[in-house]
Amino acid sequence: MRKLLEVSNLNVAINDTKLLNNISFTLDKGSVIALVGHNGAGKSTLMKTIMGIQDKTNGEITIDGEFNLDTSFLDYKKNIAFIPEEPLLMSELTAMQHFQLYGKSYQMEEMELKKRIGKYVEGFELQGKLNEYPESLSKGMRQKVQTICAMLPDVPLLLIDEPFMGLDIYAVDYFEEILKEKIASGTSILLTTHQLKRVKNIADQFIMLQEGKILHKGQISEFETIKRRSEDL
Amino acid sequence: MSRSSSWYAYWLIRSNRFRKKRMIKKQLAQISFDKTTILYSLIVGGYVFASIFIFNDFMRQFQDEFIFIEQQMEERFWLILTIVPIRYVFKSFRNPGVLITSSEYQLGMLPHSIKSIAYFVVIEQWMKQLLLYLIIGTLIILITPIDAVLIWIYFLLFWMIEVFMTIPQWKLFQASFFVKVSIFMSIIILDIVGTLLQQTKVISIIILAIVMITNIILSKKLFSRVHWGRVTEINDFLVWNMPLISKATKTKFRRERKYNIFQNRASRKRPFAYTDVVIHKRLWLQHFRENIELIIQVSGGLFLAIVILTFVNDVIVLIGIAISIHVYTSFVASIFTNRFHTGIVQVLPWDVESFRNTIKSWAWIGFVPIMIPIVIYSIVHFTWWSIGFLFLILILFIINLMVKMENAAALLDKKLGQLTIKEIMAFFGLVLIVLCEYQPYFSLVSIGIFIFVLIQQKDKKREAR
Repeated sequence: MRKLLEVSNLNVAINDTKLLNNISFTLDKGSVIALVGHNGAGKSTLMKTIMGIQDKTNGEITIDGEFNLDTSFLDYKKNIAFIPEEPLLMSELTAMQHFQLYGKSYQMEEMELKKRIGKYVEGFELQGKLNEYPESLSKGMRQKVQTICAMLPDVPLLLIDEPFMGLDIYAVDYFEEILKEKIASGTSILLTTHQLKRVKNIADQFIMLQEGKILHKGQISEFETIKRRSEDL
Repeated sequence: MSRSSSWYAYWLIRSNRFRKKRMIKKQLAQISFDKTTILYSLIVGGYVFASIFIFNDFMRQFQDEFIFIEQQMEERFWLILTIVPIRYVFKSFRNPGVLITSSEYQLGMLPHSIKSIAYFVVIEQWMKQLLLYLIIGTLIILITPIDAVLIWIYFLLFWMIEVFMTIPQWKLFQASFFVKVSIFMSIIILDIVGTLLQQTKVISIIILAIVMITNIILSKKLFSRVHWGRVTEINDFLVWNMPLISKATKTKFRRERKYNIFQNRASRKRPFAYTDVVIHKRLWLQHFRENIELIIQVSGGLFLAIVILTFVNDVIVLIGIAISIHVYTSFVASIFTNRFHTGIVQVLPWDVESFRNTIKSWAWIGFVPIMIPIVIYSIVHFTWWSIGFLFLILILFIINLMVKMENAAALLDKKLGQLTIKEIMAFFGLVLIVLCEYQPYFSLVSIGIFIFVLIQQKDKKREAR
């Protein structure tokens, strides 16, 4: 399988505190890695570093072998869509305006954008909320808006920080369905989760982080054994 | 719930906030300094203080200036009295003046009255301010030869205005933008009229009387129509925004802005016309609103600096203009870069070129306040060369902006900016402004720079194709 994301010898530190310590892994095209670990293990920091929001101390991050975070950052960014744990919506934009901002940023055609907005808005049951500002929406609805934003473009890499956080049971099922569609069309996904049961049907591999280091990694089917072994120690 | 238990709850929040801030500052001090550095810094600081204020009798050298200040304080007492309340009206645009954060507000959801909590907050603020004025007043009396009675009168006056403007500022903060602007403009017009008619005493008495009457009327409706969301949003930011800590830890406490004066307009809710220009316009407006204080400070500061320098001498004002162009263009580039590191934009792909094009018109608008005194200066010193001089200013503004935006774009792409010929030309071109004082022919260089800029633009368009 072709490698899509390559992270090698990644280190992140703020002053003397090491947040990520020598992280290396690869994510294949069309596959899914679940990042697991306790709170503060470094999952979100890793996501932010891959996004380019958090500065790294050293190491290399490359997408599709040619887009390097350090040497071609603007092109590199075009290959990623990110869903943060907490919605990052702007108070000044309505839900629809957020979708348009995403569409324009990923250079989507207006017709295609409208078609996708229609599809996802119906799936997430957000009809009638398109012209509302984020403050007028419930937390779950805001999360749905943020999720739709990232689902709109066709990008090779999706980064999802806690995918099902704040979504109701129907939305979770629908989101899972979309993710499977995306994976089938070749999108790779790196996600963080505390609910491994939920992503077991989607993820192929896991990476367990502890205090900024990779503790274990492997096939998702091996996870239970490793978890039990870790608990026994 | 009794007042004493409300006071206890309030005090618990205040003391814990104080402890938390102290702990953060302590951590900052620990990562920034070690004991040896602190010891050496104290010795150097002590030496500097002693050499300036004790051994050198530094203050005696400024005797004349102090006498001048004292005279101004006596002569312009009534004028200053009319100006001080304007500060609170101006502050009411962004600051409610009563520091009720979300923590204090949550006490109101427990069995405590938010009114009692608000009174505690206000009384604490007044007491702290009084103490601060006492310390500053004492220091000024000790260090300077200005009459002590005059200083105490002024500080007492400042404190009383602080007290009497608390309610007006609080209520004005809740009022609409247009009410604030109207009141702000009315006081300024009153002040200008008073100064022109040399009736500042009458005007200050009128303003004070209005303030007193407003206090009496508004005191009955202190807690009606209060926009608690906005109050707590801005106060949370004021309490927890610690610039030094943010710089040291490379993390920024951002104001969680949820309220926007334009949000209720139906036209703002309509979907965008699907173009970069329209979408970016809203993003820029939002970004400018977030940084409005800074923008006003920089543009206003440069405007004032040029105005004041025109009264000094011609060379100084030309140096001031050159520095203003450098500062303003650097500021635009910094605001531009910052747009990409805030909010949702940071997680999106960036069409930097398109953002650059859409900020251009705003950069020109911001340059207008700086151009106004320059144009007036040129008219006052009018010769036919003034036209060339103004052309030179505009061309230097364009090339400096172009160069700094190119660097900003390179930095956004994580590329290291290289010192280009264009950059050197742009920076040293500013020297031409000063040289125009000695030889107006220097303004002709602007034609050469103009042609250079045109060629650059043409090349860029060709590259884009």
